[in-house]
Amino acid sequence: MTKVTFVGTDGSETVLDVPPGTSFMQVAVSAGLAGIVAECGGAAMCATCHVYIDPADSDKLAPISTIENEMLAATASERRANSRLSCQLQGHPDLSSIRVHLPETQV
Amino acid sequence: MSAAQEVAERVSSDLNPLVREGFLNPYPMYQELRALGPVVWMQSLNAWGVFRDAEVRRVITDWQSFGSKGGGGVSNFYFEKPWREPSVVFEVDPPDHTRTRTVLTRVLSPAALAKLKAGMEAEAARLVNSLLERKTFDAVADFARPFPLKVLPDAVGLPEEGRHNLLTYNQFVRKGRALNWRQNWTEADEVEGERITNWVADHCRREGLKADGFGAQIYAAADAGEISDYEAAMLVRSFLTAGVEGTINGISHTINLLMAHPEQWAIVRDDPTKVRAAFEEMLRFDSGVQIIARNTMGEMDFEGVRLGAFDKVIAFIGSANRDPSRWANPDVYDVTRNTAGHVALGTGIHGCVGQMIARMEATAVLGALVRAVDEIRPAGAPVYRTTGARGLESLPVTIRGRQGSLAQ
Ligand code: HEM
Ligand code: FES
Repeated sequence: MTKVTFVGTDGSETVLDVPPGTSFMQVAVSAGLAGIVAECGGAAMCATCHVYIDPADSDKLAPISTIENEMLAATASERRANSRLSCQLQGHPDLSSIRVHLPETQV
Repeated sequence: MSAAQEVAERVSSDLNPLVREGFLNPYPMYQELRALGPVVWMQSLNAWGVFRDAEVRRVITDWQSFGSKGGGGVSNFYFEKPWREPSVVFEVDPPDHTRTRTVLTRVLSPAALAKLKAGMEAEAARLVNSLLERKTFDAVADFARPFPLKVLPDAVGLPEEGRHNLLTYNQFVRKGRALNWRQNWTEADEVEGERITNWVADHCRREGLKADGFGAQIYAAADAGEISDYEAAMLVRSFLTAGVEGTINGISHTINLLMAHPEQWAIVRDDPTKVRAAFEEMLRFDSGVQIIARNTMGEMDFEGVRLGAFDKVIAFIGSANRDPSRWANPDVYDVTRNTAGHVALGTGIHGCVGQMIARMEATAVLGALVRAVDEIRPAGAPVYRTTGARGLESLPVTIRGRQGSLAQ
């Protein structure tokens, strides 16, 4: 299990357990987390599952694929160096915890 | 050959949700099949079937175990020659898939599509205004079909003439994905199939495509060395196959469902922005596309069952979307439901690349209609197709315009 802490723009924190092989997005949507829209359901086509990785955790993830990179160009909130799509991030046995910040808006 | 025959403890079934009564209403069969077990040997399809949300999700996303090269339908390309050259995105695995998909992701991203929105809305308003004058019309032939057949090929950069050929081509693609398709191929199919293949190939060539469309953007990626010229032509073909029929079925069926559920229609009539949700819930509830097919990449254990090498495994996405362990009241059409996580458009690396333009088309044309009318009712019996693509052939309706309204 990977403990993912989603930090809202108001500073509120939601901690969710993400099983290996499951995406952060999927767990967030199942938990009804308001800041993740995920209209395309994880096909990397909508850019509405955008998150910012906490700077302290920036080296914990696999690099951005070419496909994710294309879609990050379409986020509603500003793309930054630490921008990722939560549908492309998965729980992993080697990743015990990570903090991600929700953007101002997804649409 | 397939090791499936040697497996002793598999659960098998002779139900076939893809034909006859199952074709029109597969849901009672799905309920039975979900109860049989996590994976079922389908005698009539010579393939494995999965019916529950969890296993469907696993089969369509675990591309290392379940590959796409064996073809997107029941026909198994490892054992049966495909009717057409396989798709370079839909019917391939990484790393080839990653290359072609990256290009399509760029061309069809929400940012790229934003430029098309105003033009689509203007076209939708034109269409709806002409229908307001007629009052009674066929919501398939006069509404759901002409709109995608205009705006999608326009976006691709295809010339105007001969676009009905796209629908004919789609019929052939579907027939060519059926089990033992060759046995059911007539002489007339042979002739027409060749004509339509040539027409499509001609229209995928760089020369015929307008300078600013999706087609030209795909060729630009070939010029930049990202994909080959052959792959570019084949990606243009993907738009022409996958791009129109699903949208036509989806738009007409959304109207059909709203007429059949007056309380849902009332919600959408009072808040026309809800058409997007109505379309999405149509996808979950009863989409035209019911299956996604994969093949095993080698012998493997799956949910305690031994699958053979290159066996066909069919994910019944229409069943997963009605799985009561995933959805509350799955058999109820409810436009206020949170539909996130349905698998009607697939998910993962092959999840529908055209879904954002499909949503944009549906929202534009259904939105224009709903903003302009306060009543829509059947003007005759709907005609459902019984073979080929699942969906409506005809849907006669009568509308009443809102006071003094013209679509804008
Ligand atoms: C409501 C309408 C539509 C439905 C129901 C639909 C359904 C699907 C499904 C279920 C898949 C997943 C296939 C798989 O996992 O193997 C898919 C993939 C695909 N769709 Fe759609 N689709 C629609 C509209 C469109 C449009 C408008 C386009 C093109 C503009 C399109 C192009 C594609 C392509 C190219 C793929 C293959 C993607 C890949 O393999 O990476 N679709 N579609
Ligand atoms: S859910 Fe659509 S891009 Fe991640």
